[in-house]
Amino acid sequence: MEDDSLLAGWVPCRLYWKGPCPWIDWCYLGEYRFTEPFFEQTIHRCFREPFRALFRHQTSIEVLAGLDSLRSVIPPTGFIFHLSRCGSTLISQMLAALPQNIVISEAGPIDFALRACPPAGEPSLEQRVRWIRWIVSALGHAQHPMQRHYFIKFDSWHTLLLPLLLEVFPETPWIFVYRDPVEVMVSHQRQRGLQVVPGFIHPRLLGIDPTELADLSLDTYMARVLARFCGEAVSCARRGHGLLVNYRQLPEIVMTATAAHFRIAFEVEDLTRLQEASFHHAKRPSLRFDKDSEAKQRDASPELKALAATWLDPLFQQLEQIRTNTETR
Amino acid sequence: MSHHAFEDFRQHVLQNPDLQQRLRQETDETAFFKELVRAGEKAGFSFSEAEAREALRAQRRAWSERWI
Repeated sequence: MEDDSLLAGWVPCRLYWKGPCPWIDWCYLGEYRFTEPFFEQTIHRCFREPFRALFRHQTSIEVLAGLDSLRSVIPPTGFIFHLSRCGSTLISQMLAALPQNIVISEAGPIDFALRACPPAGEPSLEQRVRWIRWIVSALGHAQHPMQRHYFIKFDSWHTLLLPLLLEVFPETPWIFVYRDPVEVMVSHQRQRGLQVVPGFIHPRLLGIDPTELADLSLDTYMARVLARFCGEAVSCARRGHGLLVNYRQLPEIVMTATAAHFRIAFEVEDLTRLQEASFHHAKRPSLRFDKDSEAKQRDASPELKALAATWLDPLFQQLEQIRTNTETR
Repeated sequence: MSHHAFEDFRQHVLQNPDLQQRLRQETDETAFFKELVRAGEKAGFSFSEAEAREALRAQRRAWSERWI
C-alpha cells in the first residue's frame, strides 16, 4: 500500500496466508465501537452494511510496521485471561459499556498472530513477537477522541501463552478469571467449546502424549485441558503482577479491585453504566444475567466430579490460596 | 469485461476516502447499488447493478467460508 493514511478508521478483521507471509483483510470500523460480546460479532455487524462488506483493503502484515506513527495508539491498559465459561465475557462487556474503552474480545487476528504457522514451518520467535506487537497495536488505535483505555480479552487457550505475552508486554496488568471447575465442565458438557475438543490445541502444548489421545474420553480430555490452563495461571500468578478473579466475586470486583489493578478510575456515570451492563447476560445481552452455580453443581454427574477432583481441584485450591494470599510457599 | 471494470472501480474506491464516505451514507442496499453504479459511471467505470450485487454476494460468501 502506497499511502498508509488510507487505513484511517479501518481495523484488521482477519489474517490469512499468502504464500509464506501473513496478509490482512481490513474492515472499515469508523464510528462503530466493539460493543458486542465477541470481536467477530462486531465485524459481522459491520458487514451487514453493503459498503463495509464490499470494500475491504487487503495488505501485507508488514504495513503495520509504519502505522503507529500515523495514528493515535493506546498501549494496552489490561489483559483478561480466563479458564472459559467463568464470567470473563461479563467483565469485557461491562468494560465495553464505557465509551472511553476499546475492548477487543477473543479476536481472530490476535489468535492468528499467536498461533498460526505458515506452510513453510514455525516462524522465528522474533517474527512471532513482531506480529503480536503489530496486531495488538493495530487493534488499539483510537477511533474516537474520548477513547483512552484498551483491553484485550484473550481466548482461553491463550493462557498457555501467558509467559510469552507477559514477556512481550511486561508493563500491562493482567487478570485470570476462573470458576469452580465442576461448573466450568458442566457448561462445556452442555455446549462443548473448541478448546476442549481433541485436535484444536496441539497435544504438545497440553503436555499430553499424542498417542494417549485415542484412549481419553472427551470429558477426561476436557479436564486435562482445563488443568493445563489452571497450571499456567498458577505458575504466572506466583511470580506476582497478576490479579486472580473468582467468578463468585463478579460483578462487583470489576468496579473495585479489577479497576485498581488496571490503574483506572470510574466516574459516577461510569459506575451506573457498569452496573447496568452487569444485569445483562454477557453472551446473550437481551437476557438477564443469572448466576447459575447451584444448577450446574446439581447437574454434575459423579463421574464429572471425580474428574474435577483428580485433575482440577488441587489447582483450583492453589488459585484460591494465591488469590486470598493464604498460600504457604 | 464488466467484471474487470467493477474490480478496477473497487480499487479506485479504496484509494479515495471522499468517495468512500459518500458511498457509506447508503446503508439500504437498493439505494447503495444505484449510487454505486452512478459513482462508477462518473469515474469512468461501466458495470451493471447485477455485477455489483454478485460481487457483494461473493465477498459475503468468502467471509462465511473463511474457516473452511
